[in-house]
Amino acid sequence: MQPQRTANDYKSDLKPVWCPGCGDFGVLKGVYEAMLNLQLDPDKVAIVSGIGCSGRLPYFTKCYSFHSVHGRSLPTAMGIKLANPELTVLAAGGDGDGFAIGGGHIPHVARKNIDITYIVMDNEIYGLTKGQVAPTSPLSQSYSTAPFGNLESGIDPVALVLSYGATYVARGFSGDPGMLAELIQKGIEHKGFSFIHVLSPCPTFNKVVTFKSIRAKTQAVHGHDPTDLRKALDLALDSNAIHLGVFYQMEKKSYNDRWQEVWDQASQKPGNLEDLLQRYA
Amino acid sequence: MNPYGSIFPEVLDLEPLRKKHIPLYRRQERIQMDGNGAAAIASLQFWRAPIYAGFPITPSTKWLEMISTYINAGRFVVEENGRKVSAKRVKLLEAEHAVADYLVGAAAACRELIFMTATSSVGLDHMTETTRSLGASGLGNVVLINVYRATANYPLCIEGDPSDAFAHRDDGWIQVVCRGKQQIYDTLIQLPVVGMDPRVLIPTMPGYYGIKDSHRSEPFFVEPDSKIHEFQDSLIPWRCPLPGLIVGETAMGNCVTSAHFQGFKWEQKKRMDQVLSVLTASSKKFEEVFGRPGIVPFEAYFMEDRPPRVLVAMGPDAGTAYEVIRRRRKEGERLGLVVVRLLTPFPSSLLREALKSAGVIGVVNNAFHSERGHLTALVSEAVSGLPIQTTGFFAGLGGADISVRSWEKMIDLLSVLKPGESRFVHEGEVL
Repeated sequence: MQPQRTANDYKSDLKPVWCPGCGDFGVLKGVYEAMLNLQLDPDKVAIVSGIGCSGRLPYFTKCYSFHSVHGRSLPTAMGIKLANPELTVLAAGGDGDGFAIGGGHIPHVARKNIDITYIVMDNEIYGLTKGQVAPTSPLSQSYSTAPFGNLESGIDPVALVLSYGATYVARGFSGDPGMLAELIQKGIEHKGFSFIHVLSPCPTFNKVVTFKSIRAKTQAVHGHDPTDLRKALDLALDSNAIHLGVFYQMEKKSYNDRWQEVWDQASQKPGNLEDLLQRYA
Repeated sequence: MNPYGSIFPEVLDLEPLRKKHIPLYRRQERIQMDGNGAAAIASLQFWRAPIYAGFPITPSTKWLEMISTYINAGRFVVEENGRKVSAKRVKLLEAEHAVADYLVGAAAACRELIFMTATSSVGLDHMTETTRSLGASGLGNVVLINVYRATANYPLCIEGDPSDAFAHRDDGWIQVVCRGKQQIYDTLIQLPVVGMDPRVLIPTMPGYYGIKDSHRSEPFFVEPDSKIHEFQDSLIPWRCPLPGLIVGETAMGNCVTSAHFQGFKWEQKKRMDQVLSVLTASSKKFEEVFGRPGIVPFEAYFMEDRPPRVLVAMGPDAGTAYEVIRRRRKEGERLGLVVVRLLTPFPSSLLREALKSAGVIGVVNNAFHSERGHLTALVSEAVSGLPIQTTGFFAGLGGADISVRSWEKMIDLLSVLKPGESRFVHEGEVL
């Protein structure tokens, strides 16, 4: 019988190098706990990241890790999952990596329903480069590159990904790693694309969004039917509170499942190569 | 049809913009800053540069932060119709690719103005789809400051390594390497006038090494804005033509047949062939106005006595090479040093002339290349047919310092290596 794994089985020898008080510590803890709860074999897990403070997350695990280029964690993760479906694949990144330079990939991974778990750590700024306006920065807020107020509206990641057709959408808070671990665990267990938006403060460069301010504005989702997409969107767009928990979960066939079905059908009646080539004659 | 496009003088009135400029400096001063600061100060002194575009990461280049700091401090606020407005602005975009396309639009709309950005490594790579078309477009009023970094290679490393510059050697831009803050500042002032010359009309890519030059400070002279304007305005035409037009006189980027494509490329090549003479003339003017040498295709040190052994290098570590060679010449060795500045178009003929008496050349490459080195390949081609042994070195990869011991070792190896051989050298050891 396989001995019970402990948290240390998932931790690498590298010590996290984020700033003191960074929300990303809580996210890393949530990832460790989720893997521990599921007793995943670290040799069967791949974690991919993009560029940004969050890009370091895979270094601190004993799983296969890949630090990809800016905005490209999702296509890389997709490649890993499709090449080796036996692996549990996680992608991790920040709001800038996910919704600016990499924003074009999310709708396509969502609609394909690739079986990967995507964790976005949102601090509403570019933290690694010292606090510039990012795609989730709210309108009118001041930043190093917008001292008199941001001219552009911030993206709502949960509402956006719901509308893209993701089959698991949740929001967590790095100040509550226990709840976050649960959301990540459910996301890993979900067969299809799971998206977890994590409110993860940057105490160094964003003095407005703090653990305290997030606690004051957030509340756990209660009595919500996660199969109701309209209600999920209502929750996401609620201007009175920021909700934490599972917004939406729908079982749909993943890309790999559909591919297998199509292949099973197609292989019953294989085409004739000569006939097919004649089309181009 | 005018192949260079019609000029519509009534469309854009430049005079109000010129008058709106608020000078940063009214007299020459000696200041101390890092390379990004030197590039930012020069950029802000142009009356022709009202908008600076960028993406703040991949990796970050402080040039944009310096620009926005000055603008945010209200240094360029003017009154317009009773309202206070800033004559300069920063536009952040959501990726480098978007920045490059934004520059295309802005530069095509206002050919006489200068549109600038700064990037690095994978940021530049991300722009590639557009930089390649920009290089051919005739939009010589785009300036892209490339802070050389190894990140465009694998694994990730943000220190200075020109692999990004060489990867974009064939994008069709004018690429000039700088070392030291004065060179960065001066190159920023001079290069747009070369790119915007009606015989050239090619976008420009000044570059300097990440960390070694981007983040290290040294004193340099800044010039009064008025003098910079005098220099630039004497060489940039008040109305700039645009050879990138395809059909009619206003259409850019159309799909064409091979016949038209080939003709277009012939024109592009002809314009690139003009760069050297235009650069030389503008350098002469630069020296007249500012009293410092303008951009040279390469710097030649200790070459007067036609030394038999010559090192060819680029970048800030060449300063160490200079000291090592100076000392060894005092001990009686006849050694020379050439430091390349113009990467594209590569000054092959001039280099051939400078190196023709050398017996052995050692070319020092700071970027990885699967064969002999980018610079070795370029120099070898320049001297091909001459009885010269060309050897190559890889040193300073990923921005590593090239120590005195390493330069000594490379000089010693000049007499040992066979023609065509190359070696990795670090801290005086052959790897």
